[in-house]
Amino acid sequence: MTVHKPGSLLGLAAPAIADMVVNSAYCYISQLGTLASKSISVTGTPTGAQNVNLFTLVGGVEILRLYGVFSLVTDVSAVTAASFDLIDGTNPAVPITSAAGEDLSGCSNGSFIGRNDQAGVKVDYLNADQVRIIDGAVGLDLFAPLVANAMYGETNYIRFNYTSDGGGAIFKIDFELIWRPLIREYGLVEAV
Amino acid sequence: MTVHEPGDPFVTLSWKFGMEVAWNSFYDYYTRAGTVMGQCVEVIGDTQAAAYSFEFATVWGTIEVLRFWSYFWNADNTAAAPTKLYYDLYDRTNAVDITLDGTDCTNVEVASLLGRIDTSLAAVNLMDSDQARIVDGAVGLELSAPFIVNAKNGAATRMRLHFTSTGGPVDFTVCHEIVWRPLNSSGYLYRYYPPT
Repeated sequence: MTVHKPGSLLGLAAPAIADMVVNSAYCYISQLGTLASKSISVTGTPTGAQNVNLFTLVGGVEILRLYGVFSLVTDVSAVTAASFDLIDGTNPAVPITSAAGEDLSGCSNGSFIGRNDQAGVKVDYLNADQVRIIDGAVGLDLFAPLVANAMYGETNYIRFNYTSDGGGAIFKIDFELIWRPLIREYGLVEAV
Repeated sequence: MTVHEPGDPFVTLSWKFGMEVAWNSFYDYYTRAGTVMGQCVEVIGDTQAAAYSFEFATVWGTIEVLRFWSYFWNADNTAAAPTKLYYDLYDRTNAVDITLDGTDCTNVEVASLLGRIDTSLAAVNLMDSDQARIVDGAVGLELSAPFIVNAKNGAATRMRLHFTSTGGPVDFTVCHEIVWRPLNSSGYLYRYYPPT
């Protein structure tokens, strides 16, 4: 067990959700959402539809925010149809954003993509070629949360999907997913 | 007074019923994030074709239920039940629906999820874990449907799980995880264990 020394406890990462004592301070604070992060680097000539596993899902969780930011853009001229989905290895993928996807071929380093609407809508895309905003409505958070329940007994993945025409691609995206369990001993998102 | 030893409070010390919480103390602040109440209902045996109900939690005072979720911890035999699964509150005289009567959960896979994601006029939402599923939230909206409960004064007010069976052996366990916060000093939600 991690020992929290006086003066250091606020800087230490929390224990795993399943290891938290129910209604301990960590348990309360964890309801704000736990961070899972995953970076992907693409260098080469991917051709056709690409499916990149970002996170594994076990049990039932509430995903509060899902987004990614480009931290390297050298060549994205062939990167189109960007989207997120959930797949259990047996059944067709469940879209998290529209499978039609967003064209990222003109994006700049620092560009943002996120789920800021329901699954039938494309990822929200803020190209960093200029300052941009997502203009929130009064009283509403800006992200569109979702509840995800995994297929039992299978490995379930949250994926980032895109299409490339084989013309070469060099980029890196840092993804973050903020989640909280709905059943504390039985819900987990982890980076692949 | 509880003494918080170095290294202890953030990880292991939970707020317990009866613990005195000073207004705007650290505990007071973070309890507004919501306290977890977990309790399971185990149903094993040969059932008649009939309706069944199980009390699993007691409400005192006034509370706000933020998130109301449950799951099938065990679903070894759900061929005959639970059909028409729903939740309500019962104060020994009156019943108030938490969800509408009811959702067919027969033949569900273990780890299937049940949640109140709409008002009491809607049936509880079932996410069968026979495949990956999502509830697709809209921008900025909480996915769980909260509700305020004011218990009947002087009577035991309890949450109940209801279902019907078509008759036959059943073996399943539904475990609940309900996140709530008090709205007055006597507001509390705690596990209920029926007499055996």
